[in-house]
Amino acid sequence: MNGNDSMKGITIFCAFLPLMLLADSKSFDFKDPKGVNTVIFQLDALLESINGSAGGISGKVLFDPDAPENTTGSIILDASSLRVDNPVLQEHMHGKEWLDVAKFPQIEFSLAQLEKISRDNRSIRAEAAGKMTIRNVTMKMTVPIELTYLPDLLEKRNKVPGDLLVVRSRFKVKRDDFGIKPGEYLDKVANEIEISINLAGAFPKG
Amino acid sequence: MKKFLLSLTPLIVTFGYWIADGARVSPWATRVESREEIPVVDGMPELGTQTKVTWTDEFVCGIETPLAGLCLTLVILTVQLCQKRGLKNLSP
Repeated sequence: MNGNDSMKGITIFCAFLPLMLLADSKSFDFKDPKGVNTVIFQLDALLESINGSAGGISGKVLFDPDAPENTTGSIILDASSLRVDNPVLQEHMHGKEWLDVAKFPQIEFSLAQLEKISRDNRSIRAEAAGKMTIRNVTMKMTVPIELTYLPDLLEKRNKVPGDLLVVRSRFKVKRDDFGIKPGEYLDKVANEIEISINLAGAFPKG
Repeated sequence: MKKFLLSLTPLIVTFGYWIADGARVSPWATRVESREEIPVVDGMPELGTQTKVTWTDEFVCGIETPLAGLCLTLVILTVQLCQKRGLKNLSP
């Protein structure tokens, strides 16, 4: 075996390494046919409190119950599904000045890995390291996350055999960081946006 | 005095309505969000719950209501004051 061959072998090994690591990972789809998956958000400013939610969730997460540290994937939110109780406020929020949902239709959290993992009964608590993209601005973020793996319970929820993965998290982002009118209207629209997610992903079998 | 008290009516009525409707400091809302905790797996709440959000069309009074009442009261008071001054100027 000459040096060229061994280099080839190493290259092939490196190319297939991620696939080998994810060999037992299951791909959980977060597009919920029941329409329950929702992201809840709150902006608590001095003069005004804005509460709302968004239901346009999609994305896939690769999860291996025996190796949760290898969890990767992304959760995508359709920005136009963001709703608040005042239609004028919603129009402004979707408009060019703020989120510009026509130009930037997606908000995405791309999960790179799980850190500081601890197990508690059925749940796995960890820090999810990844990247958040809003309005085409991508930032590295680490958010606390709780995963609950429910094997063979998809049938009871969606009438399809398979597994369920529930993802829960509560974290804050700053609109300043994503260039959403930085430093403006802070008395009415808070800089900190508190986000709460409680999503169920499905891994159908067969 | 009677006229003054009558001119305060819009402010009192709108303020009362605003208080009764929850004294919302934000603008008027035309839909209301309701949140309900439902089991992730039907019939098995011990496995955890999810928040189901439902939106229903409903008018909720905002801060504009008492502000509109205040404006109307101020307009009535101004008109009354102008009338009073006009009458005073007309008298010999």
